[in-house]
Amino acid sequence: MPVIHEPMARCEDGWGRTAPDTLALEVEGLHFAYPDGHVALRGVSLQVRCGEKVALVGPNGAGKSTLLLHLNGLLNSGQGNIRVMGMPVTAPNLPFIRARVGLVFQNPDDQLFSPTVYEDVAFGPLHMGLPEEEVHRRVTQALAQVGMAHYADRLSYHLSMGEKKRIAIATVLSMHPDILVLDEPSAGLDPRARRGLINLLRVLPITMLASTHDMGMVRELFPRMIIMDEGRIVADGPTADLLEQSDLLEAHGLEKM
Amino acid sequence: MLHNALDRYRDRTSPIHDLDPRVKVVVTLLAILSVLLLPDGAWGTYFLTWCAVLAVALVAQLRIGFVLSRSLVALPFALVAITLVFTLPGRTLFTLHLGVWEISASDAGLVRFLSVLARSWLSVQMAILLGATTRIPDLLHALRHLRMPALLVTILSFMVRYLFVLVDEVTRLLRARQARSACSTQGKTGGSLLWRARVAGNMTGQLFLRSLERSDRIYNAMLARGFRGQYVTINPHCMRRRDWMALGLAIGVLMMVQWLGRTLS
Repeated sequence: MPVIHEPMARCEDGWGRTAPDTLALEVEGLHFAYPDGHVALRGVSLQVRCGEKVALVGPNGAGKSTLLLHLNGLLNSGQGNIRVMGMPVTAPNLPFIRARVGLVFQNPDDQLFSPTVYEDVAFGPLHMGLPEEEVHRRVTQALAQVGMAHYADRLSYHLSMGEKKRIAIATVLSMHPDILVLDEPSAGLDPRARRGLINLLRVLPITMLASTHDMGMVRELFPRMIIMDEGRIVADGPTADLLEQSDLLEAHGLEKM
Repeated sequence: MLHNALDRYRDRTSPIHDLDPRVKVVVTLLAILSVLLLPDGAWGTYFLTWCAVLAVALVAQLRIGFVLSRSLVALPFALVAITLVFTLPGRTLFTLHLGVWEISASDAGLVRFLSVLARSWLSVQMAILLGATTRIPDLLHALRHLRMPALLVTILSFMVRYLFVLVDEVTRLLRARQARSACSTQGKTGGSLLWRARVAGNMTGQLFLRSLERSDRIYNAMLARGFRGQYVTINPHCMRRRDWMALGLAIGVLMMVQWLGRTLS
């Protein structure tokens, strides 16, 4: 039986202006345990408004990646609620949710699975069922957005790490998501590639949630910071304030830099 | 470095490179079929086919040496056919005494064996031409749009994409082993054969587990971008007039070779 959906809210109105009061993301009381019994999330709640850029920090094993996989419905715990642009993340909604949440994985070799760059960037739009001209338009646009317009015909395995990261971001931008969710975007990059990536993320006009260990990038790019440890959110506030609380940072294995 | 060793594609601008990959795949398959259908000992037509292969290589601006040296790798496999020399009935050429056994070579067997050798060598050269003038993604597209089962093409394309990642992973594992294969005193190092075998086994297992986990992550990445079990691609190729003409020309040449092979022998 077909599921009929309400028209979804968008972060942008038709004129490209963001609607800052809309909630892009709502997570309530999320619990999750892996099949081997390891508990990864113990009651996580957070809200992200449209246009916000939020950093998710915390030690390895704090549950950051697990949380990110939930936002796209790749993990499903049954306990707690997630709403993306007001739409609950449930099985029948998943195709729509996945077009709204652009999830960029940590290792671009996992994200870029097609032989050529073009096919990878076209994968999302094609599977959304868009017509060919629209797919082509979006691929060109997404590659231009990440500054890789001339890479369409290149083979993915011949690219450098920094180039792969940019293409990986383009593969989700081509789906025109409302929220960009990034898992450790600056990991494994040399200083120049990292700088290029930071500049790119700064100019992308899109709601962003990024898990990272790169406190320098957090300070530069993300006005709001959420600290996670042992499956819980232990602090959530303006980055500038949290970075001043050295006790808090030290208690959760973070450094101010 | 290694990537170059695995990727046989030679980047040139030539009429052959420019052809629709579907035409190239179909013509290659037909040409191989044609070679296989030629009668034994039709040396003239084998030579004619070889000239056609060389002509295509020249038009594609490939060095003849490149095609020849690459084609030699397949010869050892053709040696399996050497038993033909001794099993086919015919006029006895010579007899070998191996202890109590006595085997004799026949002339018919020798002709059959040399023909098998020539046919496989020609077929391999054709495949090399295809690989050297067609990019792997185009080859995959051609297969997909020639109605090869989608699952097979998908498996092939993942293999192509991750072969390099896997090779890198193996290189890292080997390097890590090498870095710790030190030697404290003069003399033999590295332990017994059994111990070495165990290390190699562990490394293989390690590689398998890593690949398994990676496949999970890739599948997640596909789901995250809306994959629902049906692989969709755009067809970037369309048949132009010269593609049809090349196809017609190739089929004509092959039919002529077949006709010659049958009437001359």
